[in-house]
Amino acid sequence: MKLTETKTLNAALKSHYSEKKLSASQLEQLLFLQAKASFSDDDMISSDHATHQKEDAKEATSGFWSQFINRVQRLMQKYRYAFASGVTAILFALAISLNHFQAIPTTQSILEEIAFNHKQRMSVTIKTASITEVSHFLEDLSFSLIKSSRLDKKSWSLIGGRYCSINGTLAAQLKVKNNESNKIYTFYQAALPKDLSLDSNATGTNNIDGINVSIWKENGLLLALADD
Amino acid sequence: MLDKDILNQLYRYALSLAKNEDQAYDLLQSCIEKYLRADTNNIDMPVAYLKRTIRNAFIDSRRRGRFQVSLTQEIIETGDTEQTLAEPTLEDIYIQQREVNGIIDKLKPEESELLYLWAVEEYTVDEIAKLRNQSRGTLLSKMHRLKKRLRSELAEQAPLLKAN
Repeated sequence: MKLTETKTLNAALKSHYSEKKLSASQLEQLLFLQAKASFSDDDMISSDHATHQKEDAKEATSGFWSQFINRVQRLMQKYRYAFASGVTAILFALAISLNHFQAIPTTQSILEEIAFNHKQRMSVTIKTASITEVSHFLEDLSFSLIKSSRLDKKSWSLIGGRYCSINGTLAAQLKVKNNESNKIYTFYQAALPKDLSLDSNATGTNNIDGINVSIWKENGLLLALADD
Repeated sequence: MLDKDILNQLYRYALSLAKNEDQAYDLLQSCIEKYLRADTNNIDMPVAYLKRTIRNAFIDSRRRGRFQVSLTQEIIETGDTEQTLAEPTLEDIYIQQREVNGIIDKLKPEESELLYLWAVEEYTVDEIAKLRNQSRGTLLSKMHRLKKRLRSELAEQAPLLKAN
């Protein structure tokens, strides 16, 4: 094209605009946009048969549910950021709620857990009458075992102990014998769960599924005694 | 699917309004996205639909700018009745190729668009009037005024070009 060439105005304008073209990457991007839309809509836009193709495609998937799903998919695509934010907020709220429920144990849930542990009748992993030896053996506990004032030395004998779990934390399950009745009991010591409001009525004996469970606080620990 | 030729045609139309290549592309892209979201079953003429969409989007982008003001002024102005009876042509205006850029730069977006549709796409007055939603008389008046202005601009540039 000669820049000094004189033309009629419309010829010059045609020549000017004919040089204005989309770059290869711009064209690629616009074609990709259409291909993506065609893929998601199962539709073609400007061919002569477009309308028929679309009608055929619609007939093939004309069920209520497919239309409903298509609509939901379009809405999800259109409002994808709001949708993602909503889902995140719901998951966050759910996580907080679950954490909240787990973090606040009830007296009842602990009583049930102790009764369950007792029913398992697990054998001790260390057999000894010395609380100090059991304490050394169960070295992974986050607290030190204590001699409870409720189990006096004259009436009760220690048989041994093992690890157990109470409220999701490591605890001690001791086996003790009542010297007067010769009955075997399981005696539990655990770190006092945070936020646990121990029901004062529970400090008596509770019957949980046929198991008698007593629970109380002592020296900052949660103690419990269970028998059949 | 809008093919490469149609996309380039729409791009040139957007360029005639925006007079800036980046803005023209942004305008085109946003309108194609809008078009793809629309129910294409109800659109018989995609190219005409897209041109209107591009035009409206451009006007929206300049709503508080000079373009809107110039539209209002031109609608209020009335052309010479005698002039508006005949459809003007551009065949009798001569220009050097290198003058084209300078001329387009001096035009308002609406004038540049009119020139593009008139000269490059060879739209009839009725077709332009339909696209722009204007009356034939108003449009003819604008075309006469534009032609007169182009002659004037070219006359001003001629001595400069000769000097160069």
